[in-house]
Amino acid sequence: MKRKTISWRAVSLWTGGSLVALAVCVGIFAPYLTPSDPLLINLDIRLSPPSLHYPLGTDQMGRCVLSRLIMGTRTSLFYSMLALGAALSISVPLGLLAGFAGGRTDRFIMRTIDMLLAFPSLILSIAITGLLGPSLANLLLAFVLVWWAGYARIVRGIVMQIKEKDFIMAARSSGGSPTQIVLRHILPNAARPMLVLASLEIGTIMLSISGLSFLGLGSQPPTPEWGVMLNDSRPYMQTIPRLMLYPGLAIMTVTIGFNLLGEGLRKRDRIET
Amino acid sequence: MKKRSRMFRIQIGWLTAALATIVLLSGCGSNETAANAPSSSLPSQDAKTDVDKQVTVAVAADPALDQLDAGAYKGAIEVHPMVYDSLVEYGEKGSIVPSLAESWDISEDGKTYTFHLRQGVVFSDGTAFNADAVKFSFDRWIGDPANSSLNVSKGLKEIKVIDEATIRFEFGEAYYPLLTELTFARPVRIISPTAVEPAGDPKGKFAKPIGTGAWVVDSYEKDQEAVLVRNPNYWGEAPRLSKIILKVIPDAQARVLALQSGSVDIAGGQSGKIPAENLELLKSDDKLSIQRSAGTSSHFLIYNYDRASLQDVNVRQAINLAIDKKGIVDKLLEGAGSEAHGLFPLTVPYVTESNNEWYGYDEDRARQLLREAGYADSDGDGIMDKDGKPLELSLVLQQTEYPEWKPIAEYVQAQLLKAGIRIRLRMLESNAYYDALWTSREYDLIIYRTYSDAYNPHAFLLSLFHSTGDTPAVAWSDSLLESLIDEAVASTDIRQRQAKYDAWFKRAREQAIYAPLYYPDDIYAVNKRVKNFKLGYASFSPIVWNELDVSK
Repeated sequence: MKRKTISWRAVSLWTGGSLVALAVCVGIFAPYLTPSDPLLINLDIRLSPPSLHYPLGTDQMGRCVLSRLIMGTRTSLFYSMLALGAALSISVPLGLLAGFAGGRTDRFIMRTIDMLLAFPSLILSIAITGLLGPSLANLLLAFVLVWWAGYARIVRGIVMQIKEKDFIMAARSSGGSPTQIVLRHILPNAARPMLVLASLEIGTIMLSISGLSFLGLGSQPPTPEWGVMLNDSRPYMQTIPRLMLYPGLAIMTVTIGFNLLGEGLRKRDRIET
Repeated sequence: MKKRSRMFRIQIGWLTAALATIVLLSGCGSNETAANAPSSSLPSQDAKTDVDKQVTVAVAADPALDQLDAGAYKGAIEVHPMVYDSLVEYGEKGSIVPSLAESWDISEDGKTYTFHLRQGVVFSDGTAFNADAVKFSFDRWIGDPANSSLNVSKGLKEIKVIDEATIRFEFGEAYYPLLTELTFARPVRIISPTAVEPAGDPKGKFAKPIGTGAWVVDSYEKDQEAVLVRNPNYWGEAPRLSKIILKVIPDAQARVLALQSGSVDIAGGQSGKIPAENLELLKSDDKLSIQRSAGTSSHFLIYNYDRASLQDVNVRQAINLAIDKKGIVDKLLEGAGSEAHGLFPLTVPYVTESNNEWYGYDEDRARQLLREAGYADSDGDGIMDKDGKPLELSLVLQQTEYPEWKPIAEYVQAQLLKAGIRIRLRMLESNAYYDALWTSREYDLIIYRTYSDAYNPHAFLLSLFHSTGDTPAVAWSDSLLESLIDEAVASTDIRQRQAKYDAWFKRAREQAIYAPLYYPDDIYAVNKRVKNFKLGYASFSPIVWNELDVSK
């Protein structure tokens, strides 16, 4: 008799996928979903409990918490994607180059990466934003500068695996130029594992951005952002804990969503790292 | 596989960090309890008092007691007056009370001061205190350009030791707040000649904090805690406590938790601010009592006088009119302060009901003034513009020392937006903030506070509204205002001095050279086991330490 098992991989994939899809939808349609203006300050109704008009209550400035959470989804997702995109645009070419060219070029790129990885990344991003002044743009810059290195190393690993495959040998012996081989044969085959691994990293990026915003190094008021909301609600930790709970849960849900999705995809494609 | 497990660890680490802020913070609280266990190692200095009488005070910043030089600006300012005495001290409402000087004579022309010193006083290490020690202490820093805003330093011509117990200061010109300057926390206090290496050399390097004050530094651990014990050689009445522990807790919420858990007894004031948001919570705690008094400082917005838009008096007035100062106090500060009517509150000398008038809250008038200045909302985006440029200003602030500035700045931002001015907030880390304020001047508006008590009004006005050397004034440059400060400070007649200050405040109001926001109350939360808690008269001696006591 065949026992029916629920595959962990499928659960992970579907839960993660739906959480991410939900977050992305909320992010895209944020302006239509907010019940009130997320920036409208009204001190007369500050810290009011949940009501029909303000489903999650209001914050210390009398702004609608739900609206700020919804707009915050947009900020967090948009900037995480942007950071990922920017980091990929550095790490993919360099990883391809190092993995394919090998030799001196490889050693030079890898030692640079080793150097960057030797720094504690969080402290390095804090130092960079401290120097450039706090803003989301500077935070992203700092983050990309620190984060591309680890990913370039992964890309190099993937490229080196593919390089040993027979079809590359075939392409080589039939006289393909290195550029042709990389663009036509290696990149298309490497793209899938690269994207799967990147999706695993989005959760980390989101947490880092929220974390640095929590420290006051990221988004500047009045832009709604989860890390900032978390920090702003600290004085009310004991009296009105829900204010802290909402952004905390939002960060947790979306991060878990991305991690489950990434992990599910990775297992489905049997990608080893 | 190796990489994956590392990635997982990082992710889990981040998750924990984001979720468990609450756990972390309460963790801080419970860690501190262990450190509070009564220490038995304290040597009994006075058989009559209890060895265990100690109080723990939370401070936000490292007190840096290893650098507590009486003649320099390092170390916690509140500890200077605990360890070092001055010739005279700052009493109630600015009165001058005797300390190491028992009495003094001032010459007719106001240029010669003769101090008669207290006799039989010794420093904490047993060195005798005398006129030579006073001269030594002043010689160490007099004439240093860093002290040029002090008239004691700038105007001094000579210090003469008349005899063991008499010392004479001769100045180039008369200067009314001289005795007040001698009450400051630093650099005017008296340090032992044995505190430097080589001993007795005014150019010697500071080695250890030795003064005549009631307290002695017993131990100090950077960023952790500092322990002060009673000075066995103190000349005055011995303090009732045997030990005061300063515990460094940088985070305001952690200070609140430490108060609740009983691991600290006192927190508040300037050195360990209690956020207004937590007042209700602390009031409801049976173990704690809240002490508050109207302070002598005020918080206000400085305008950058180099910015073309802010050079227009209409714009400056409009910003003042557009801000709801009452709303800030009533709602954002939970009433722990009062709305600002001028640069200084009425608790400051020379500030009177009549010279302390300011702009109210009138949104329509603010818009009207902006229109008179040539601004109009020509593209309908809600922001006033002129010559195609929108009226957009940056507002620089910091949150480390003044957590309340963030909500206040957000409120000001929203209010100025209603008047048609767009504000970009720039929250800086505190070093970068002070750099913007004093050096780079990279701001359009910056929120700052006045100094307190003994420094108000003259020392604060000199330091912010007067040029020093080649450097133009920090907060606002106006030659008439600068000469009014000079005249006020130099006048020996109190009525004439009052008239000069009146004229200064009047012109400041007409020109709207700053935007006052609020006068904060000084708030302390004190554990009820602490007895005789009394607030001091100056911000640098916020608590009357010598009378503090604890119940068993």
